Amino acid sequence: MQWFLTTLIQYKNFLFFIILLGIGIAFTVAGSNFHSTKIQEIGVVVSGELLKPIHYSKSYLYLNETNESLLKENNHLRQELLDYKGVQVSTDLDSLNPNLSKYLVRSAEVLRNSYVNARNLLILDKGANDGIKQDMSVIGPDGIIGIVKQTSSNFSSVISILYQDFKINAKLIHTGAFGSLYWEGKDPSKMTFSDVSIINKITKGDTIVTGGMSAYFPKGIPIGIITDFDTPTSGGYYDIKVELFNNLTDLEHVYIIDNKSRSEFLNIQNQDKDASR
Amino acid sequence: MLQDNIKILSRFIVLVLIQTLIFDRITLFGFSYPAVYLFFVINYRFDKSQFILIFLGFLMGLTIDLLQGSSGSNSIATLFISFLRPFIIRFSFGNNLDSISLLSMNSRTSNQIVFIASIILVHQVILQIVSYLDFDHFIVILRNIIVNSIFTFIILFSSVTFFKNKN
Repeated sequence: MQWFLTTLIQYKNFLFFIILLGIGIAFTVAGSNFHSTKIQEIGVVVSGELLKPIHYSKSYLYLNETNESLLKENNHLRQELLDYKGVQVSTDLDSLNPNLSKYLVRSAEVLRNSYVNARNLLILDKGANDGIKQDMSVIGPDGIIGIVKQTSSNFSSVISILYQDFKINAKLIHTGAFGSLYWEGKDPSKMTFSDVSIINKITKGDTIVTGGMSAYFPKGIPIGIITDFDTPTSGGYYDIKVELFNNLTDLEHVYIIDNKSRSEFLNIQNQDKDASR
Repeated sequence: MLQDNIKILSRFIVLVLIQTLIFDRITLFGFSYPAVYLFFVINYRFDKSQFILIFLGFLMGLTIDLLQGSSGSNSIATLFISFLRPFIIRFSFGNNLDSISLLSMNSRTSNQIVFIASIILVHQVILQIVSYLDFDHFIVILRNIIVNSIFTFIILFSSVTFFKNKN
Protein backbone atom coordinates (compact mmCIF):
# COMPACT_ATOMS: atom_id res chain seq x y z
CA MET A 1 0.00 0.00 0.00
CA GLN A 2 2.81 2.32 1.01
CA TRP A 3 4.64 1.43 -2.16
CA PHE A 4 1.52 2.08 -4.21
CA LEU A 5 1.02 5.53 -2.70
CA THR A 6 4.66 6.44 -3.17
CA THR A 7 4.53 5.45 -6.84
CA LEU A 8 1.30 7.36 -7.23
CA ILE A 9 2.86 10.52 -5.82
CA GLN A 10 6.08 10.02 -7.73
CA TYR A 11 4.32 9.76 -11.06
CA LYS A 12 1.47 12.11 -10.28
CA ASN A 13 2.39 14.49 -13.09
CA PHE A 14 2.41 11.74 -15.65
CA LEU A 15 -0.86 10.24 -14.41
CA PHE A 16 -2.50 13.63 -14.39
CA PHE A 17 -1.22 14.23 -17.90
CA ILE A 18 -2.69 10.93 -19.10
CA ILE A 19 -6.06 11.68 -17.48
CA LEU A 20 -6.25 15.14 -19.04
CA LEU A 21 -5.10 13.73 -22.38
CA GLY A 22 -8.00 11.30 -22.23
CA ILE A 23 -10.40 14.15 -21.52
CA GLY A 24 -8.89 16.14 -24.38
CA ILE A 25 -9.28 13.26 -26.81
CA ALA A 26 -12.85 12.76 -25.63
CA PHE A 27 -13.56 16.43 -26.32
CA THR A 28 -12.00 16.17 -29.75
CA VAL A 29 -14.02 13.10 -30.62
CA ALA A 30 -17.25 14.57 -29.30
CA GLY A 31 -16.69 17.88 -31.04
CA SER A 32 -15.80 16.72 -34.50
CA ASN A 33 -17.34 14.05 -36.65
CA PHE A 34 -14.16 13.74 -38.66
CA HIS A 35 -12.07 12.99 -35.59
CA SER A 36 -14.49 10.42 -34.25
CA THR A 37 -14.51 8.63 -37.61
CA LYS A 38 -10.71 8.62 -37.66
CA ILE A 39 -10.47 7.28 -34.11
CA GLN A 40 -12.99 4.55 -34.88
CA GLU A 41 -11.00 3.66 -37.95
CA ILE A 42 -7.90 3.22 -35.79
CA GLY A 43 -9.98 0.97 -33.54
CA VAL A 44 -11.05 -1.15 -36.50
CA VAL A 45 -7.47 -1.52 -37.72
CA VAL A 46 -6.09 -2.40 -34.29
CA SER A 47 -8.72 -5.00 -33.47
CA GLY A 48 -8.55 -6.38 -36.99
CA GLU A 49 -4.79 -6.88 -36.83
CA LEU A 50 -5.07 -8.40 -33.37
CA LEU A 51 -7.87 -10.78 -34.23
CA LYS A 52 -6.60 -11.94 -37.59
CA PRO A 53 -4.06 -14.53 -36.33
CA ILE A 54 -6.49 -15.76 -33.65
CA HIS A 55 -9.24 -16.14 -36.19
CA TYR A 56 -7.12 -17.97 -38.73
CA SER A 57 -5.73 -20.42 -36.21
CA LYS A 58 -9.21 -21.03 -34.86
CA SER A 59 -10.80 -21.46 -38.25
CA TYR A 60 -8.31 -24.23 -38.98
CA LEU A 61 -9.94 -26.31 -36.26
CA TYR A 62 -13.37 -26.00 -37.83
CA LEU A 63 -12.37 -26.76 -41.40
CA ASN A 64 -14.61 -29.80 -41.58
CA GLU A 65 -17.75 -28.01 -40.49
CA THR A 66 -16.97 -25.05 -42.70
CA ASN A 67 -16.41 -27.24 -45.73
CA GLU A 68 -19.64 -29.03 -45.10
CA SER A 69 -21.67 -25.86 -44.84
CA LEU A 70 -20.01 -24.39 -47.91
CA LEU A 71 -20.76 -27.55 -49.86
CA LYS A 72 -24.36 -27.40 -48.78
CA GLU A 73 -24.60 -23.81 -49.90
CA ASN A 74 -22.90 -24.60 -53.17
CA ASN A 75 -25.40 -27.35 -53.74
CA HIS A 76 -28.25 -25.02 -53.10
CA LEU A 77 -26.85 -22.38 -55.42
CA ARG A 78 -26.31 -24.92 -58.17
CA GLN A 79 -29.87 -26.02 -57.81
CA GLU A 80 -31.00 -22.43 -58.07
CA LEU A 81 -28.83 -21.83 -61.11
CA LEU A 82 -30.31 -24.86 -62.84
CA ASP A 83 -33.82 -23.69 -62.08
CA TYR A 84 -32.93 -20.29 -63.39
CA LYS A 85 -31.45 -21.66 -66.59
CA GLY A 86 -34.54 -23.71 -67.13
CA VAL A 87 -36.68 -20.60 -67.09
CA GLN A 88 -34.50 -18.64 -69.44
CA VAL A 89 -35.18 -18.76 -73.14
CA SER A 90 -31.93 -17.47 -74.54
CA THR A 91 -28.79 -19.34 -73.65
CA ASP A 92 -26.26 -16.56 -74.09
CA LEU A 93 -24.01 -15.66 -71.17
CA ASP A 94 -25.20 -12.09 -70.86
CA SER A 95 -27.12 -12.89 -67.73
CA LEU A 96 -23.94 -13.99 -66.01
CA ASN A 97 -21.93 -11.01 -67.13
CA PRO A 98 -21.00 -9.14 -63.94
CA ASN A 99 -21.18 -5.80 -65.71
CA LEU A 100 -24.82 -6.28 -66.46
CA SER A 101 -25.99 -7.45 -63.08
CA LYS A 102 -27.11 -4.87 -60.60
CA TYR A 103 -25.27 -6.31 -57.62
CA LEU A 104 -21.71 -7.37 -57.08
CA VAL A 105 -20.99 -9.99 -54.43
CA ARG A 106 -17.72 -10.29 -52.54
CA SER A 107 -16.94 -12.83 -49.86
CA ALA A 108 -15.28 -12.04 -46.56
CA GLU A 109 -14.42 -13.70 -43.29
CA VAL A 110 -15.64 -12.61 -39.90
CA LEU A 111 -12.77 -11.70 -37.60
CA ARG A 112 -14.88 -10.66 -34.66
CA ASN A 113 -18.50 -11.38 -34.04
CA SER A 114 -20.56 -10.04 -31.17
CA TYR A 115 -24.17 -10.64 -30.20
CA VAL A 116 -24.35 -9.98 -26.46
CA ASN A 117 -24.28 -6.18 -26.45
CA ALA A 118 -27.16 -3.85 -27.12
CA ARG A 119 -25.35 -2.58 -30.19
CA ASN A 120 -23.29 -5.21 -31.90
CA LEU A 121 -20.54 -4.70 -34.44
CA LEU A 122 -18.70 -7.24 -36.56
CA ILE A 123 -15.24 -6.92 -38.01
CA LEU A 124 -14.48 -8.39 -41.43
CA ASP A 125 -11.13 -9.07 -43.07
CA LYS A 126 -11.87 -7.09 -46.22
CA GLY A 127 -11.54 -3.34 -46.52
CA ALA A 128 -11.38 -0.40 -48.87
CA ASN A 129 -8.54 -2.04 -50.83
CA ASP A 130 -10.92 -4.86 -51.74
CA GLY A 131 -13.55 -2.41 -52.90
CA ILE A 132 -15.65 -2.41 -49.76
CA LYS A 133 -17.42 0.87 -49.11
CA GLN A 134 -19.58 2.30 -46.38
CA ASP A 135 -23.29 1.35 -46.41
CA MET A 136 -22.87 -1.85 -48.41
CA SER A 137 -25.06 -4.68 -47.19
CA VAL A 138 -23.70 -7.89 -45.68
CA ILE A 139 -25.51 -11.22 -45.91
CA GLY A 140 -24.74 -14.69 -44.66
CA PRO A 141 -25.51 -18.10 -46.13
CA ASP A 142 -29.06 -18.03 -44.74
CA GLY A 143 -30.02 -14.41 -44.55
CA ILE A 144 -29.10 -10.85 -43.77
CA ILE A 145 -26.36 -9.85 -41.33
CA GLY A 146 -25.83 -6.12 -41.41
CA ILE A 147 -24.50 -3.02 -43.10
CA VAL A 148 -20.90 -1.87 -43.48
CA LYS A 149 -20.33 0.98 -41.08
CA GLN A 150 -16.74 1.87 -41.68
CA THR A 151 -13.78 0.71 -43.70
CA SER A 152 -10.04 0.95 -43.26
CA SER A 153 -7.70 -0.18 -46.01
CA ASN A 154 -7.78 -3.86 -44.98
CA PHE A 155 -10.67 -4.22 -42.55
CA SER A 156 -14.22 -3.11 -42.18
CA SER A 157 -16.72 -2.90 -39.36
CA VAL A 158 -20.31 -3.95 -39.83
CA ILE A 159 -23.42 -2.90 -37.93
CA SER A 160 -25.14 -6.16 -37.12
CA ILE A 161 -28.91 -6.42 -37.46
CA LEU A 162 -28.70 -7.13 -33.74
CA TYR A 163 -28.31 -3.41 -33.13
CA GLN A 164 -30.90 -1.48 -31.19
CA ASP A 165 -32.45 1.53 -32.98
CA PHE A 166 -31.60 -0.04 -36.32
CA LYS A 167 -34.65 -0.77 -38.45
CA ILE A 168 -34.74 -2.84 -41.59
CA ASN A 169 -37.37 -2.66 -44.27
CA ALA A 170 -38.93 -6.12 -44.69
CA LYS A 171 -42.03 -7.71 -46.13
CA LEU A 172 -44.13 -10.84 -45.90
CA ILE A 173 -43.40 -13.15 -48.77
CA HIS A 174 -47.05 -14.17 -49.28
CA THR A 175 -49.02 -10.95 -49.05
CA GLY A 176 -46.21 -8.52 -49.78
CA ALA A 177 -47.16 -6.42 -46.76
CA PHE A 178 -44.33 -4.13 -45.69
CA GLY A 179 -43.12 -3.43 -42.21
CA SER A 180 -39.98 -2.73 -40.29
CA LEU A 181 -37.86 -5.23 -38.47
CA TYR A 182 -35.85 -4.46 -35.37
CA TRP A 183 -34.09 -6.19 -32.50
CA GLU A 184 -35.30 -5.85 -28.95
CA GLY A 185 -31.96 -6.73 -27.51
CA LYS A 186 -32.53 -10.06 -25.78
CA ASP A 187 -32.25 -13.18 -27.87
CA PRO A 188 -29.85 -13.13 -30.85
CA SER A 189 -32.17 -15.42 -32.81
CA LYS A 190 -35.37 -13.41 -32.39
CA MET A 191 -36.43 -10.08 -33.80
CA THR A 192 -39.63 -8.04 -33.86
CA PHE A 193 -41.53 -7.20 -37.02
CA SER A 194 -43.70 -4.14 -36.60
CA ASP A 195 -45.77 -1.63 -38.55
CA VAL A 196 -47.73 -4.32 -40.39
CA SER A 197 -51.34 -3.23 -40.69
CA ILE A 198 -54.00 -5.64 -39.39
CA ILE A 199 -55.79 -5.57 -42.72
CA ASN A 200 -53.15 -8.08 -43.86
CA LYS A 201 -53.74 -11.69 -42.93
CA ILE A 202 -50.78 -13.43 -41.36
CA THR A 203 -50.23 -16.91 -40.00
CA LYS A 204 -47.55 -18.55 -37.94
CA GLY A 205 -44.78 -19.88 -40.12
CA ASP A 206 -44.98 -17.17 -42.76
CA THR A 207 -41.64 -16.23 -44.23
CA ILE A 208 -40.27 -12.70 -44.07
CA VAL A 209 -37.85 -11.36 -46.66
CA THR A 210 -36.14 -8.03 -47.23
CA GLY A 211 -38.41 -5.44 -48.79
CA GLY A 212 -35.93 -3.70 -51.07
CA MET A 213 -37.42 -0.31 -50.25
CA SER A 214 -34.06 1.13 -49.21
CA ALA A 215 -30.75 1.29 -50.98
CA TYR A 216 -29.22 -1.19 -48.54
CA PHE A 217 -30.45 -4.74 -49.00
CA PRO A 218 -31.53 -6.22 -52.31
CA LYS A 219 -35.13 -7.37 -52.51
CA GLY A 220 -36.13 -10.83 -51.41
CA ILE A 221 -33.30 -12.01 -49.20
CA PRO A 222 -34.81 -14.39 -46.60
CA ILE A 223 -34.81 -13.19 -43.00
CA GLY A 224 -36.89 -15.53 -40.86
CA ILE A 225 -40.28 -17.01 -40.05
CA ILE A 226 -43.11 -15.78 -37.86
CA THR A 227 -43.25 -17.69 -34.59
CA ASP A 228 -45.84 -15.67 -32.74
CA PHE A 229 -48.00 -12.60 -33.17
CA ASP A 230 -50.42 -10.48 -31.21
CA THR A 231 -53.51 -8.86 -32.62
CA PRO A 232 -53.69 -5.61 -30.73
CA THR A 233 -56.98 -4.27 -29.41
CA SER A 234 -56.08 -0.79 -30.58
CA GLY A 235 -53.57 0.75 -32.87
CA GLY A 236 -54.15 -1.29 -35.98
CA TYR A 237 -50.70 -2.83 -36.25
CA TYR A 238 -49.57 -6.35 -35.48
CA ASP A 239 -46.84 -7.12 -33.00
CA ILE A 240 -44.98 -9.99 -34.63
CA LYS A 241 -42.15 -12.12 -33.29
CA VAL A 242 -39.74 -13.46 -35.87
CA GLU A 243 -37.22 -16.26 -35.62
CA LEU A 244 -34.18 -15.65 -37.79
CA PHE A 245 -32.92 -18.19 -40.33
CA ASN A 246 -29.37 -17.08 -39.87
CA ASN A 247 -27.52 -18.17 -36.77
CA LEU A 248 -25.81 -14.91 -35.94
CA THR A 249 -23.86 -16.41 -33.09
CA ASP A 250 -21.89 -18.64 -35.40
CA LEU A 251 -20.63 -16.71 -38.39
CA GLU A 252 -17.60 -17.59 -40.42
CA HIS A 253 -18.08 -16.59 -44.04
CA VAL A 254 -20.22 -13.72 -45.16
CA TYR A 255 -20.96 -12.01 -48.46
CA ILE A 256 -20.81 -8.28 -49.04
CA ILE A 257 -23.23 -7.00 -51.64
CA ASP A 258 -22.42 -3.92 -53.63
CA ASN A 259 -25.53 -2.30 -55.04
CA LYS A 260 -24.10 -0.70 -58.14
CA SER A 261 -27.10 1.52 -58.71
CA ARG A 262 -27.10 2.76 -55.15
CA SER A 263 -25.88 6.25 -56.00
CA GLU A 264 -28.55 6.49 -58.65
CA PHE A 265 -31.16 5.41 -56.13
CA LEU A 266 -30.02 8.02 -53.62
CA ASN A 267 -30.04 10.71 -56.30
CA ILE A 268 -33.63 9.93 -57.16
CA GLN A 269 -34.53 9.91 -53.48
CA ASN A 270 -32.93 13.32 -52.98
CA GLN A 271 -34.63 14.76 -56.03
CA ASP A 272 -37.87 13.45 -54.65
CA LYS A 273 -37.22 15.18 -51.36
CA ASP A 274 -36.41 18.45 -53.11
CA ALA A 275 -39.55 18.23 -55.17
CA SER A 276 -41.82 17.67 -52.20
CA ARG A 277 -40.37 20.60 -50.34
CA MET B 1 2.51 33.36 -2.60
CA LEU B 2 -0.96 34.81 -3.06
CA GLN B 3 0.47 37.56 -5.16
CA ASP B 4 2.14 35.00 -7.41
CA ASN B 5 -1.10 33.17 -7.92
CA ILE B 6 -2.95 36.34 -8.78
CA LYS B 7 -0.20 37.18 -11.23
CA ILE B 8 -0.50 33.75 -12.88
CA LEU B 9 -4.27 34.03 -13.05
CA SER B 10 -4.27 37.51 -14.53
CA ARG B 11 -1.62 36.50 -17.06
CA PHE B 12 -3.80 33.54 -18.00
CA ILE B 13 -6.86 35.70 -18.62
CA VAL B 14 -4.97 38.43 -20.46
CA LEU B 15 -3.27 35.92 -22.77
CA VAL B 16 -6.55 34.18 -23.59
CA LEU B 17 -8.11 37.53 -24.43
CA ILE B 18 -5.15 38.67 -26.51
CA GLN B 19 -5.09 35.38 -28.38
CA THR B 20 -8.78 35.22 -29.20
CA LEU B 21 -9.50 38.89 -29.70
CA ILE B 22 -6.40 39.99 -31.56
CA PHE B 23 -4.19 37.23 -32.88
CA ASP B 24 -6.91 34.88 -34.10
CA ARG B 25 -7.99 37.66 -36.44
CA ILE B 26 -4.54 38.16 -37.90
CA THR B 27 -4.26 35.50 -40.55
CA LEU B 28 -0.94 35.66 -42.32
CA PHE B 29 -1.14 34.40 -45.93
CA GLY B 30 -4.73 33.49 -45.23
CA PHE B 31 -4.04 30.43 -43.13
CA SER B 32 -1.51 31.13 -40.41
CA TYR B 33 -2.12 32.59 -37.00
CA PRO B 34 0.38 32.76 -34.13
CA ALA B 35 -0.19 30.93 -30.86
CA VAL B 36 0.82 33.71 -28.48
CA TYR B 37 -0.82 31.98 -25.53
CA LEU B 38 2.30 29.83 -25.36
CA PHE B 39 3.86 32.80 -23.59
CA PHE B 40 2.11 31.46 -20.49
CA VAL B 41 3.94 28.13 -20.67
CA ILE B 42 7.26 29.78 -21.54
CA ASN B 43 7.01 32.36 -18.79
CA TYR B 44 5.74 30.04 -16.04
CA ARG B 45 8.29 30.10 -13.23
CA PHE B 46 10.70 27.18 -13.18
CA ASP B 47 10.35 26.59 -9.43
CA LYS B 48 6.54 26.40 -9.45
CA SER B 49 4.65 23.12 -9.39
CA GLN B 50 4.48 21.32 -12.70
CA PHE B 51 1.27 19.64 -11.61
CA ILE B 52 -0.50 22.98 -11.66
CA LEU B 53 1.11 23.93 -14.97
CA ILE B 54 -0.26 20.76 -16.57
CA PHE B 55 -3.72 21.64 -15.34
CA LEU B 56 -3.48 25.30 -16.34
CA GLY B 57 -2.02 24.43 -19.73
CA PHE B 58 -4.90 22.08 -20.41
CA LEU B 59 -7.39 24.69 -19.22
CA MET B 60 -5.75 27.31 -21.41
CA GLY B 61 -5.96 25.09 -24.48
CA LEU B 62 -9.54 24.19 -23.68
CA THR B 63 -10.56 27.82 -23.33
CA ILE B 64 -8.90 28.67 -26.63
CA ASP B 65 -10.62 25.69 -28.23
CA LEU B 66 -14.01 26.74 -26.98
CA LEU B 67 -13.51 30.33 -28.09
CA GLN B 68 -12.08 29.37 -31.48
CA GLY B 69 -14.66 26.67 -32.06
CA SER B 70 -11.92 24.17 -32.86
CA SER B 71 -12.27 20.67 -31.53
CA GLY B 72 -9.79 19.86 -28.79
CA SER B 73 -6.55 20.20 -30.75
CA ASN B 74 -5.29 23.21 -28.79
CA SER B 75 -5.96 21.54 -25.45
CA ILE B 76 -4.09 18.39 -26.44
CA ALA B 77 -1.13 20.34 -27.84
CA THR B 78 -0.87 22.69 -24.83
CA LEU B 79 -1.25 19.76 -22.46
CA PHE B 80 1.62 17.97 -24.16
CA ILE B 81 3.84 21.02 -24.04
CA SER B 82 3.14 21.61 -20.33
CA PHE B 83 4.03 18.01 -19.62
CA LEU B 84 7.18 18.04 -21.73
CA ARG B 85 8.43 21.40 -20.47
CA PRO B 86 10.88 20.06 -17.82
CA PHE B 87 12.54 17.90 -20.48
CA ILE B 88 12.80 20.87 -22.82
CA ILE B 89 14.25 23.00 -20.02
CA ARG B 90 16.91 20.38 -19.32
CA PHE B 91 17.56 20.02 -23.04
CA SER B 92 18.09 23.73 -23.62
CA PHE B 93 19.68 24.98 -20.38
CA GLY B 94 21.26 21.88 -18.87
CA ASN B 95 20.75 20.98 -15.23
CA ASN B 96 21.90 24.21 -13.65
CA LEU B 97 19.43 27.01 -13.98
CA ASP B 98 20.69 30.42 -12.93
CA SER B 99 17.25 31.85 -12.37
CA ILE B 100 13.67 30.93 -11.59
CA SER B 101 12.19 32.76 -14.52
CA LEU B 102 13.07 33.18 -18.15
CA LEU B 103 12.69 36.94 -17.91
CA SER B 104 15.38 37.36 -15.26
CA MET B 105 17.76 34.89 -16.79
CA ASN B 106 21.36 35.55 -17.73
CA SER B 107 21.92 32.40 -19.79
CA ARG B 108 23.22 32.77 -23.28
CA THR B 109 20.68 34.05 -25.78
CA SER B 110 21.21 30.96 -27.93
CA ASN B 111 19.99 28.74 -25.07
CA GLN B 112 16.92 30.84 -24.64
CA ILE B 113 16.23 30.75 -28.37
CA VAL B 114 16.51 26.95 -28.32
CA PHE B 115 14.08 26.83 -25.38
CA ILE B 116 11.45 29.05 -26.95
CA ALA B 117 11.83 27.56 -30.42
CA SER B 118 11.55 23.95 -29.25
CA ILE B 119 8.45 24.68 -27.18
CA ILE B 120 6.80 26.37 -30.16
CA LEU B 121 7.85 23.67 -32.58
CA VAL B 122 6.62 20.76 -30.44
CA HIS B 123 3.37 22.59 -29.82
CA GLN B 124 2.78 23.29 -33.50
CA VAL B 125 3.66 19.75 -34.57
CA ILE B 126 1.13 18.26 -32.16
CA LEU B 127 -1.47 20.93 -32.87
CA GLN B 128 -1.37 20.48 -36.63
CA ILE B 129 -1.22 16.69 -36.54
CA VAL B 130 -4.17 16.46 -34.16
CA SER B 131 -6.26 18.95 -36.08
CA TYR B 132 -5.67 17.32 -39.47
CA LEU B 133 -5.14 13.70 -38.37
CA ASP B 134 -4.69 12.68 -41.97
CA PHE B 135 -1.38 12.12 -43.70
CA ASP B 136 -2.88 12.81 -47.09
CA HIS B 137 -2.55 16.43 -46.04
CA PHE B 138 1.13 16.09 -45.19
CA ILE B 139 2.18 19.13 -47.24
CA VAL B 140 -0.48 21.33 -45.65
CA ILE B 141 0.51 20.15 -42.17
CA LEU B 142 4.18 20.82 -42.87
CA ARG B 143 3.44 24.25 -44.31
CA ASN B 144 1.30 25.22 -41.33
CA ILE B 145 3.92 23.98 -38.86
CA ILE B 146 6.73 25.94 -40.49
CA VAL B 147 4.88 29.20 -41.10
CA ASN B 148 3.06 29.21 -37.76
CA SER B 149 6.24 28.38 -35.85
CA ILE B 150 8.24 31.17 -37.46
CA PHE B 151 5.42 33.66 -36.98
CA THR B 152 4.86 32.65 -33.34
CA PHE B 153 8.58 32.65 -32.63
CA ILE B 154 9.04 36.20 -33.88
CA ILE B 155 6.23 37.49 -31.69
CA LEU B 156 7.15 35.51 -28.56
CA PHE B 157 10.88 36.18 -28.76
CA SER B 158 10.39 39.89 -29.27
CA SER B 159 7.93 40.08 -26.36
CA VAL B 160 10.34 38.14 -24.11
CA THR B 161 13.11 40.57 -25.05
CA PHE B 162 10.79 43.49 -24.49
CA PHE B 163 9.75 42.39 -21.00
CA LYS B 164 13.33 41.55 -20.13
CA ASN B 165 14.50 45.05 -20.96
CA LYS B 166 11.69 46.51 -18.91
CA ASN B 167 12.80 44.50 -15.91
